[in-house]
Amino acid sequence: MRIRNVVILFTVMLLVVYGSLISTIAATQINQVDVTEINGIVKSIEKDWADGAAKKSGTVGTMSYQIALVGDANYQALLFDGIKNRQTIIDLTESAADGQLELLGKIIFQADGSEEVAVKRRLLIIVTITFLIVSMMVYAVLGLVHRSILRPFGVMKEFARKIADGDLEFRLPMDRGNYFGAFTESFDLMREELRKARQGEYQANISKKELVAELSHDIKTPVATIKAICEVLAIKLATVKTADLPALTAARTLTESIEKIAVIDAKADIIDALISNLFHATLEELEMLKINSSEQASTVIMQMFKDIDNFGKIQFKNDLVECLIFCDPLRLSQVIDNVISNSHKYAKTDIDIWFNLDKIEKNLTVKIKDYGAGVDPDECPLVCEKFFRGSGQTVQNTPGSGLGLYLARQFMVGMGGNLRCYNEDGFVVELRIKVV
Amino acid sequence: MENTILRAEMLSKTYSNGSIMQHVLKNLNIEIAEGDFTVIMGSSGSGKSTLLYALSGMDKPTLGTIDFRGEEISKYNNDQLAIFRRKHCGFVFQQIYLNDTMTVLDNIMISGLLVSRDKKTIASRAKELLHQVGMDDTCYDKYPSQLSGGEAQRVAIVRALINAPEIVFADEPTGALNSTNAVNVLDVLTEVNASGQSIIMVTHDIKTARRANRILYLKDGVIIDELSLGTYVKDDPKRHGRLREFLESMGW
Repeated sequence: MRIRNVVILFTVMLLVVYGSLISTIAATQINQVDVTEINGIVKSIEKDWADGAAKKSGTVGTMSYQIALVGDANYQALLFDGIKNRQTIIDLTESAADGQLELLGKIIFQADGSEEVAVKRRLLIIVTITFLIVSMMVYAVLGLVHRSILRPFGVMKEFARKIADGDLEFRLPMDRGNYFGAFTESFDLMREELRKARQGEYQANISKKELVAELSHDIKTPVATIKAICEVLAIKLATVKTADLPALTAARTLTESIEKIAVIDAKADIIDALISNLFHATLEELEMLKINSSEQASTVIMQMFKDIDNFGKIQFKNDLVECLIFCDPLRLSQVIDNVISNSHKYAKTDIDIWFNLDKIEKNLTVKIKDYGAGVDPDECPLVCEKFFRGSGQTVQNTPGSGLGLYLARQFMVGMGGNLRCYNEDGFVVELRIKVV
Repeated sequence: MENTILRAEMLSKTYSNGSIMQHVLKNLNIEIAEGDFTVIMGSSGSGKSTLLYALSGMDKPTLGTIDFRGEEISKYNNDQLAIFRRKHCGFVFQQIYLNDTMTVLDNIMISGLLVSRDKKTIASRAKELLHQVGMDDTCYDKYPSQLSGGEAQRVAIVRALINAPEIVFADEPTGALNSTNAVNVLDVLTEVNASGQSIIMVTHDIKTARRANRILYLKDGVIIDELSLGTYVKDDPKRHGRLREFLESMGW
């Protein structure tokens, strides 16, 4: 029950009790004198007095009387006693010979005390009941105040202590019925927001770490390519310098070297783009690697393979169907770089590529296959998981972060496609690219 | 499809302006059967005319292949394409493009002489065709300025048909004509189609589209749906209703 209602009830009850008390007292009549009866008794006594049969005291009906004669020695004492006790006193007279009334004494009617006692008892009962009711109401209000105000305060105190201790899972029980319901709800909302903020901070920290790890990995891939090309260039140019090569061979070597320099330039561009990503991410604190997909000619894929084919191991087993695909060229080239680099790192075999266009499903599948040991069949579903590295000897003996295929799949999914890995006389990575 | 005369696979056309690329046609797969009267519809900028020009060899696709009777014409160089167009295609445009300094007969014959040297045969075929399209002998020596819009367009159609092309490509052929002339021109094209020549036509006009037995609807460079209407029957309310319903469902 709400306190307001209790107060209203309490007030109403007080008024009712007060009203009934007042009306009871007002209606109570104590020692009211019945004049007619007294006159009757006085006339009867005066008649008896004249007949000489009167007694000095007696009782008529409910009224008892006593006669104090003027000549009595205690006349005054009886009179004063009667006055003191608020008794009814009537003159006792006798008609004299001259027709005048002669005072014989006083008839003192004694008051009945039982009525007073009854009134006293009744008042006592009413006062006692009133006191009990008022006491109960006071206790009820106190109980309500305790339940509605003091106890919620205690819970909030405990809640504040738990929050201060960092326990954001502690839920504040809510009771919209009492005055603190809204407060407790607000406090609980504060806790919820605080919990979310803390979770967000935690996620942001994790994301930041992952982002740095991902970008580091992405930057490492083109750097590795550049290093490899530099080594090839160093050997080739050294040969041109030192050996007395025929002009045609020297010219070809130089042409090839210029091509390699173009690849270095392209990779440097990728690193530049990745560093831009990193810078952007630092600025916005929490910004995952963006994928900006657009409609591109499928021929870009061929160029990507050519750019990464530093060791001349890639062979195309069928023609690429020219069509428009949906991809982010930077991300797709990272995917292809990752997959081919993995083959170079772990399999060191030829790499065959098949293209298959599914016009119904609108997918272009690029199957990239090497002829290495593949991965443990049990580990196949896991190779695209974050930080997962195969248990094979070659994998364990080769440095790596376990992020390459994870990122590759993230990028492919982000571009509306997918990436699938399986063993088939070697290791196969299938890239499914969305066709416009 | 049986009797495929023209097939496009994953046809795309991209225009680039600096680093901005606009893909006007996107991975279109189309087969045109011999004797088809195909109408290409779609809102402005949806790529209708680009598709017509790519299919006819007037423009080269950026990606994909087009083959004509099994021969991949998308690989042709410009000279090969010019020969292909002369021998196998006829063109009718909204703008009539008759040579103002030449008579009607000369305008038609000059196209025929690009393919054959037999002047006599060409002249007699031109006259026969002119008769077929409702032009009498008096028009032979008229100049284009002496012709009405409908007559000029009929002459242009005869010019397009002079080399007996297997496919006639028409880009809004009735766009500049009044309704009577438009009906005459469409009647001519319907007759041409009935005689076995395939027609691929771009139009915005629902009355023109009724003549087709197949409607392709293009949106943002993609064929979003097509409707097969069957052989043209004049004043067929059911056919008209189906076409209207189809176009309404396309948001036309």
